[in-house]
Amino acid sequence: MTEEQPTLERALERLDEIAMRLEGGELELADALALYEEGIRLLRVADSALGSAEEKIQQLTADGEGFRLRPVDAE
Amino acid sequence: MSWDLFSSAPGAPDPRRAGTVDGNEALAHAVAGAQADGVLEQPEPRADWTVSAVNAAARRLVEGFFPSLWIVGEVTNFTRARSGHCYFTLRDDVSQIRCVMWRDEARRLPTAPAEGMEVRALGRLTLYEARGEFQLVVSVLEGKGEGLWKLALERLKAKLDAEGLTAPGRKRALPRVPAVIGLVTSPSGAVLHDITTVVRRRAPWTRLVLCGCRVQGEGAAREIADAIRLFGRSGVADVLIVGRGGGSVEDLWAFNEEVVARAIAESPIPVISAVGHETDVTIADLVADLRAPTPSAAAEAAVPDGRALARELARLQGRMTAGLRARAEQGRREIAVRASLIARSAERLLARRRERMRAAGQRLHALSPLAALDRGFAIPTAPDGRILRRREDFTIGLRFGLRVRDGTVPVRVEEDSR
Repeated sequence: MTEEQPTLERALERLDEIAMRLEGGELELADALALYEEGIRLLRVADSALGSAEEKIQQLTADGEGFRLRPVDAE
Repeated sequence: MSWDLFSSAPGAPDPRRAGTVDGNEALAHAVAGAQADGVLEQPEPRADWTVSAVNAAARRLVEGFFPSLWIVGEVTNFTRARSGHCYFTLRDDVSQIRCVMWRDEARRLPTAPAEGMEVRALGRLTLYEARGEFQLVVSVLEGKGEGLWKLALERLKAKLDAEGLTAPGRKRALPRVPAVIGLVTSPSGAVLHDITTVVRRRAPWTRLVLCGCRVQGEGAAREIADAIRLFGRSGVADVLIVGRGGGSVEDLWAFNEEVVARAIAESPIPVISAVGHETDVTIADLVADLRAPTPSAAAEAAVPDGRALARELARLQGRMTAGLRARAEQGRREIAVRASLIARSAERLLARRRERMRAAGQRLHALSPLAALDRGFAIPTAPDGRILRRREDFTIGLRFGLRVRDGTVPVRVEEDSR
């Protein structure tokens, strides 16, 4: 859930939107190219996200009014 | 006759059953035995007993002779005082007995019994000295069958229904690809393992965050509710799985409690319930955004399959590329069409210009004096190039040129025409 990288969910939504607009054919060529480039960037992000693997489980505990996340052993 | 499979007071003694012929006879024997021991023999009425002394003695007697009894009957006039103590009457066709259930025991009741409900109560007989009232102090109260639990469920369900918390329209869509799944379950149970296994297989990139809690026993419901709220407050998960493995109705009871239902209903994060019990639907299931029959099924529902997602990404790339290619092709066609349009309009323009120039040439020719010479006119021109237009221009002896079509003829004025 880092700020600079879109989540997979957002990336997929945006990719669907981009594909639909490109298929629509109403765009200026320059806009179409810009969208295509954005799509390719998102595809790379999504692809590398799919390839990553989280091994650890984190534990959520209350910390006063706040909370704490710390790793715990998975199995 | 069937009774609760579980009791609301774990570890309660298992006294012999009253209400059977054997039980009643045994009781009668016990009382007769006490009489034989002379405890009840008071041949002469002793004077000057105080009311308190009599009540105290009677109480000792009653408490001393009756063991704990299971008593069956119908509940009437059940009331819960502000103190938390509960008061009611047990009755059969001919008799009734006042009952009290102290707060600590009453707290374990899933709900108040309905008027006239058939129950059995475990209690000790006593005498309330201040009033001289014979009563039963009840430690366990059970509905016939699973009556009280069913009643509690029905009541809570009706309440939540009335508030709209179980309405299908209230259920939220789950995220398609959650980045983080929050787990509200026991840190030691098989549930955690099952969910982890499914998520690692289908969507290994997904982060799992556990907020461990007890999932059965007293206080479990509160812990579950607190865990759900902690996730809501921290916002660290995109979807929650709240659940436990299978178990008896009693094991699952925490998931039927109002605190859990409210925590789920109020959760800002969508909730999947996974109480491993295929047949019984818990209150948590009714309020959750999705009900999964098992924790593994909950995990399957929570995350997409990675391979399907990879195929979808490939499809998206194909669509995008095809779209761009079509757009470029369209661009080429547009350019070709425009080019031919330009060429055609340029041709038209040139043709128009040519036509205009030809017409202009004709007009110029018509105006030219040369055209007049063609027709036989001649132009007298003075040596200085002036055209001689009037009579007085022609003085005697003037030499001038007469321009005709093919040249100039020298001429001299001989005489005055006047």
